[in-house]
Amino acid sequence: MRLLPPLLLCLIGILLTYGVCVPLAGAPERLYWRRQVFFVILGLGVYFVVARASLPRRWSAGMSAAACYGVFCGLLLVLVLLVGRSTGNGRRWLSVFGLTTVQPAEFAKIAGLWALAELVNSTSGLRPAEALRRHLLACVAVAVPAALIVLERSLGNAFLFCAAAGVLLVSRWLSWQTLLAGVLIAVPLLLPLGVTVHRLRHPPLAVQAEHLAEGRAGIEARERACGLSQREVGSVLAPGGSEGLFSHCPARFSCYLSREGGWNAEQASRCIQIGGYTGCGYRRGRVTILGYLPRTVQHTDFAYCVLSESLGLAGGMAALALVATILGTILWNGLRSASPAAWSFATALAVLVFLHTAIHVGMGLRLVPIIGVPFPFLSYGGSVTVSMFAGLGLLARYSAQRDGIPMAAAGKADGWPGTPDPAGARSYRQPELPPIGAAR
Amino acid sequence: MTSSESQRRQAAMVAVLAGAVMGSALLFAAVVHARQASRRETALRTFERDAARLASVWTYRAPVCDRYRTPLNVTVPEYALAVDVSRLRDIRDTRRRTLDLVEAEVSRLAIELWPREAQFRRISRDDLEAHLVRASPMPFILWRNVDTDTVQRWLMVRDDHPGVTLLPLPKRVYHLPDLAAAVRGRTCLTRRGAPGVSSHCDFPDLTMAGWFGAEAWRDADLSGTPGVEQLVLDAVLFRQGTVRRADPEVGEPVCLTLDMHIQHWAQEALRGLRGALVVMRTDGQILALADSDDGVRPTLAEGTEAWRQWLRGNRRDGIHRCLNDQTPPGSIAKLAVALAALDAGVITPETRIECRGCVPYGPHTVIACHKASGHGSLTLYEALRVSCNAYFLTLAERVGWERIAEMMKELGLGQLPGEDMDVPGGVPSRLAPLCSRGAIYTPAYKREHYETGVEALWRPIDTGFLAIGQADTQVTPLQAAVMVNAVATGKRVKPRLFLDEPYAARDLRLSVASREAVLQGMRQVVHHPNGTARTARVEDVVLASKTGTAERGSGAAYRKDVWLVAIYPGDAPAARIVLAAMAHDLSSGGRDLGPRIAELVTAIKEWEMWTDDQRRQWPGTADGEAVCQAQR
Ligand SMILES: [Zn+2]
Repeated sequence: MRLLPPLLLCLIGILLTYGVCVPLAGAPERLYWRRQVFFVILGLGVYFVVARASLPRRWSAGMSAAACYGVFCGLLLVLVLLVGRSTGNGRRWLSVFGLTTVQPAEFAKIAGLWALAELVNSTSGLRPAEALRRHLLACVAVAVPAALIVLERSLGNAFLFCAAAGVLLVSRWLSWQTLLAGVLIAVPLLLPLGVTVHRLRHPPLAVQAEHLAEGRAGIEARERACGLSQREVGSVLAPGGSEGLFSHCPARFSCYLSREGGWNAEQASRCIQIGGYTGCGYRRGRVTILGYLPRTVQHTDFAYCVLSESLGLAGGMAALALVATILGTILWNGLRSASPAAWSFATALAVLVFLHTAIHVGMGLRLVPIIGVPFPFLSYGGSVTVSMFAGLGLLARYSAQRDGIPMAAAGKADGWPGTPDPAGARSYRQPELPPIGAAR
Repeated sequence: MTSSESQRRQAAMVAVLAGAVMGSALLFAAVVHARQASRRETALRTFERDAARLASVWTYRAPVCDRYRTPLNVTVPEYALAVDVSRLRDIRDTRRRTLDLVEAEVSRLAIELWPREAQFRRISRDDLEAHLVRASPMPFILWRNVDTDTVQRWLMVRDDHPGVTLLPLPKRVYHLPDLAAAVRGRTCLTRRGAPGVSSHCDFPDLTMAGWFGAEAWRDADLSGTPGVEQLVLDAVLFRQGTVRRADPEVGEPVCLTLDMHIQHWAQEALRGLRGALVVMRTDGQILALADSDDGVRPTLAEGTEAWRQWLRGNRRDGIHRCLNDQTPPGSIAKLAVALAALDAGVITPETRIECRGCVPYGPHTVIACHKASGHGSLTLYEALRVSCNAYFLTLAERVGWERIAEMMKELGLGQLPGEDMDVPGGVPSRLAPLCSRGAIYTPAYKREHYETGVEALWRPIDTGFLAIGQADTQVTPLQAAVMVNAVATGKRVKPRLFLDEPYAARDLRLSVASREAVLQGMRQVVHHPNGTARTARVEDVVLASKTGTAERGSGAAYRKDVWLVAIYPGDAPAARIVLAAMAHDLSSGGRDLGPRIAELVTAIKEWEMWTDDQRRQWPGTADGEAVCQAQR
């Protein structure tokens, strides 16, 4: 039942992929949609394996998480840097027997979050110093895969992972009152930033006229009006200069700032606008069909735009509602589960799914720069689909444990190295550690 | 227990918080989406503009016909090899890569088609790039006018060259390539758009357009309206469909008033000369408009650049000797003097004036008569017959330059066709924009064209020059025909080259008696043993004529241009056809042009007795067909 929303999204995604892969005059037929069907089936398989597979009794959840972390966040990420296939700007693909390619970063995100959730929730009954050490270890456990993903020049994925992991850690460290206060303070603080960015992108008419009349000089005038120049922005965004890892950022950022934007961004927002409220109909969106939105990215980075062009605002809202349902299910499942690790993991997974969706939709609406993030379950892509199903599977596993399948001793022995035996823990018995923020 | 309780509470609140933040963010996205979706109409309009382009649709060009509505031309295909860039390129190719791709393909094809000698035109990379920049879905034409052998070779290898197509282009072939070539004109292929198709972002088609002659003058009628297709292009410019299509409108055939037989004879009459000959019906329809350059065909291979150059230079870009060659009229101006004098009542035809061989205009200045001993005492008939200078110089003094210039203007000199007709403002003539105006030598003209001071003053000798058609009076052969037609009919007609032009004329209100007197003199020019055009006499034909000789230059550059105008038949009410011939660098109109005009008149006399069916049979049809075949 809880698989219904993701599967519905997948179905829509397959139909969309089929729609944009129709052979047109002059364009070769591409069979992405068949592969996506395969990926969904594979994802479902992974889901059930992860959710139901019984492990040896001595093999705790923590140990599995640690093993997964080692494989996906360590081994594969290093491997991809060594033997990965470079496409475009970045080296982020691993070829599997020449059949298909895998993006380990997607799996690293899920595995990393899982391991993190297990790690920070294994501190119950530990001395404060020991707990602090665990938390520091958690920070390192976030930093290492993040750095490896950055080295792949996959900044989007690194950001998504750090954000989800950050929410996981912060929600563990700070009490909900503090978090609420933080959100309430952050909103007024973020507002001016949003307004500045909005003014940069939509300068007043006078400045626009100047821009049109004077070309380059007009751009500078706009920068003066906003108090920062593209060069400064560039130097902040790309510390390594034109040879560095971030060399492509300034261009993308100035593309984002300029009203005209890049080709893809322009065509994407065109899709959204032409779709209107009810859309042009399935496979009737001409921006997509005629390839103005490039055919290479239609079904991946701009799936939401294609959907919106076909089915309009209604279709987009349906997809967003499905995502909201998925988010609700994830959070609800986490809450129903008895283990704190499940709560943390559910929060992080929800944040991850949400950020994927928000950034993907934001790209189409020209709210965020174009950084190539897929819409979970909707976009074409094997790695992201399978890894998302794996995430849901993990959550289902936590729920199942609560429902009676024996847990690997939640809050007792969790298998992390250096964990004292339960008896020792009991001897140090203290009032349960409040979250760090609440202690202050 | 309490700790677990507080943990659960913490988790629940965090979940609620996260849910609230995420929910509001999704709501925000929904609002932004809805706002953008409200701009659907504008977005659709701009997209239409970007994705849909207009393209012209080729239309059939109507033929140019002779006066019997028989087409003078056929349209045949000429084969061209073209490359369809959008079928060669890949979606992801950059322009540079596409250029390389196309270039490689083209040179491969060139080597396959012309294995031995490199006789093909080199395709420049710049041209190709310009084509890519225009972002046109039209094929890029590589080689035009490909011969049948090459086409056969291409057919054998065409499966290896999927992007290359064989394109039939229209080509006009004339049945009588040598007849009236200058006035009929030629076509060339140009890129021209239908109405509303702008050449920088839309796609005009390669279509036939008039180059010079009637093909160019009546281009708008002949070419019709090209159709428009609104194409839908995908991002790599592949045609995905047609939104709407306005069918082309076929052009209207244009009928010339020329008769190809008379044109043929007129050209024959000019053979070996450098001049022009107009044969016009007295109602203004031009039967022949011969330029001595007609029928001179370049020996160069057709379609080459040198050939194009030759045609352009030879035809002087639409200049036709009959319409634009301005020459002093010489003695044919005396017709105007005689009419002016008779009309003003200065003399009667029988009034005698003495010729002593020259007329003095100052201590050292005389104008000589061509008979140095003098013609003695002459009537008007005799003076016209021998073209006596002294008679007309003396007469001009009595009449005054004003009346002479006025009469010349009435007869159509210094005027464009259709100008100053009975209708106020004149009658627009299709020929007018193509004709030269000529000039009449008057004090006003002199003031305008000469230095100030003594040079610009009007002297008595200038009246003399005006009277005998020397100095700066300039007349085109067509104007001479109109003038002599006015003498014959008393009306200045609008000369017409196209059948669809209506008749228009100005009644000059000349008395029948004075016209008859001048005609009498003109008949004697041919039929009297002393007449200057006695060589033009034809058995059983009454012909009225006047010759003229104009001098220009001095010393080594001294040249004479000769004139002969004629009315057929020479009795006024029966006059049906007038002729005006002019040739450069000859000595005497009578001697040099007379026999040729006689032959022409003999032929016309025969032609008049033909049935229409006979007239429809073109001269030398077999030869014309052969030439036509050769051109194909
Ligand atoms: Zn004389």
